[in-house]
Amino acid sequence: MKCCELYAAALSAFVDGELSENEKEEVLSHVEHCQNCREYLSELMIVHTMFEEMPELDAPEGFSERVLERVHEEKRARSRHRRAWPRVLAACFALLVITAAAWKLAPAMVSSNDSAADCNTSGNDTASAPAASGDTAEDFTYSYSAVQKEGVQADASPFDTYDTEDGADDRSADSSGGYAIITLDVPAAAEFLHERGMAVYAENDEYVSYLVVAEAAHDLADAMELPEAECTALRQADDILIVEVAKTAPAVEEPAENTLAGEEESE
Amino acid sequence: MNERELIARLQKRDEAAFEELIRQYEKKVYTLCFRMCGNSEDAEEAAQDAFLALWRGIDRFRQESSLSTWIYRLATNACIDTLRRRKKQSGSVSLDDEELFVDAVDTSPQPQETVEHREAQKLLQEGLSALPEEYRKVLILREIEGLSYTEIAESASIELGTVKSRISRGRSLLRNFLSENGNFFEIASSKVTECNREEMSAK
Repeated sequence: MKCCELYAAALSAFVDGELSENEKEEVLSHVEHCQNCREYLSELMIVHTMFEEMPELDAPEGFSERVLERVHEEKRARSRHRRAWPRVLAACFALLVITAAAWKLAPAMVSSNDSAADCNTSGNDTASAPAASGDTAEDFTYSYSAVQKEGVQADASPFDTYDTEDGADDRSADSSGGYAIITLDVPAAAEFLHERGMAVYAENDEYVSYLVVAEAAHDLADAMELPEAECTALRQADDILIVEVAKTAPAVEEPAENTLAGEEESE
Repeated sequence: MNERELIARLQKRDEAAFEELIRQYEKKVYTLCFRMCGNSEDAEEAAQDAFLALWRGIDRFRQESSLSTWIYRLATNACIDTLRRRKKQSGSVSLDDEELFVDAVDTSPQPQETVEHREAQKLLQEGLSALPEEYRKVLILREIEGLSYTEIAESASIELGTVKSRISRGRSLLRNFLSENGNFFEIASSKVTECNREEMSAK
C-alpha cells in the first residue's frame, strides 16, 4: 500500500483531470505496473461516477418566500432599532451635561479643596453642595443631585466623586445618571455591542462600558453564553442600561473551539 | 439579466433581483447544504442563512471572484455554522432522509436496480456525513458542484496544494468508509460497468 499512499494525491487529481500532461503520463505508467494503485484508481473512479449520479435536489417548497420573509423581518427589526436611537441620544446628551458640569466644577474643586479641608471640621457638608450649583445654571441639576447624594451617604468631601481620575470608580450609579449597570467578564460582548451600534460611555484599561438600549440587551442575552444572573438582568431590561465589559476574560479562558483547523493545515 | 447587472441591482437592494438570484441558485445551494449537513432540516436552515448572508454582504462583494464561487463559500460557511450549533445543542439528527432519495431517483430503472442504486447513494451520503468537515467541504465542491481546484481554493480561501491534498485525503477516508460499511463497491461497480457497457454500445 506504500506506493498507493505516495501516489494517492496524484491519482485523485488524475480523476479530476487536474494533472499536467507530464504528470498524467507518469501516473499512467505507474498504474500499469502497480496492481494496488490500479485498484485504488478504479475505486476512486467508481466513487466519482456515483457522485455524478447523485441527483440535484429541489429546494423545499416555499424556500425563497421564507428567505424573503427573513429579510423583511430583519428590516423591521432594524427600523425598531432606529426608533430607539432618540432615547440613546438623549442619554448621551445627559451624560455630556454631567461631564461638562464635572469639568466646570473641577477648577472650583481645586480652589475650594483647601478651604473645604478647613471647613470639614466645621461640618460644612450642606454648605458645599449648594456651592456646586451656585451658578444656578440648569445644567447643574444633575451634578447637584449626585453631589448631594454623595454628601449624605458619606462624610467625605462631596467633590470626591469628581476628583478621582480613574474611570473605574467614576462609573457609580450616580454618574451613570441612574441607569442600571451590568458587568460582564465576556470580552466578546463588547464586539457585539459595538456591532449593534451602541455608544461607548466610558473606558479604561480594564473595562469598556456601553449605553445599551433594552432591545440590544435582550439580543445580547440571547447571543452569548453569560452567567445566569447577568443573563436574566439583561433579559429583563426595559430601559437604557449601562453594560460594562471586561477587556480581558478572567483567569479561566475558554478553550479555542476550532478543533478541526489545526489538523492538517501543514500538508 | 447578466451577472454584473444582477449584482448591481442587488447592491441597490432590489428585492426582485434577490428573488431571481434565489431561484437561480436555490437548487445548487440546497443540494450543497444537504450533502454537507446530511438532513433536510439543517440543509434548509443553512441554505437560508447563506442567502441572507449574501443579502447582507452584497455591498462588500467586489467581484474579484465569480458570484457562484462566493455563494458556495457562504453556503459552506453556513453549513459549518449550522453543524456546530447543532453539535452544541447536542440533539442528534437522523442522517438519512429517506424520502429525499425516493423523490430524487428516476422512476425508469427496474425495481431491484432502483433499490440497490438508492442503497449505494445512501451509503455515499453517510460516508460524506462521516467525513471531517474540512474534507467534506472540498469534496462536495469538487464532486457535487463540479468546481475546479482553482475555484475551490478561491471559494474556501485555501492554497491550491491544500485543496489537492484535502480532496485526496477525503476520498481516501470515504473509500475506507465505503469498503467497511455495506456493499457499496459491489453495487456500484456493477452499476458502473453497466453504464460503460451502455455507453460503448451507444457508440
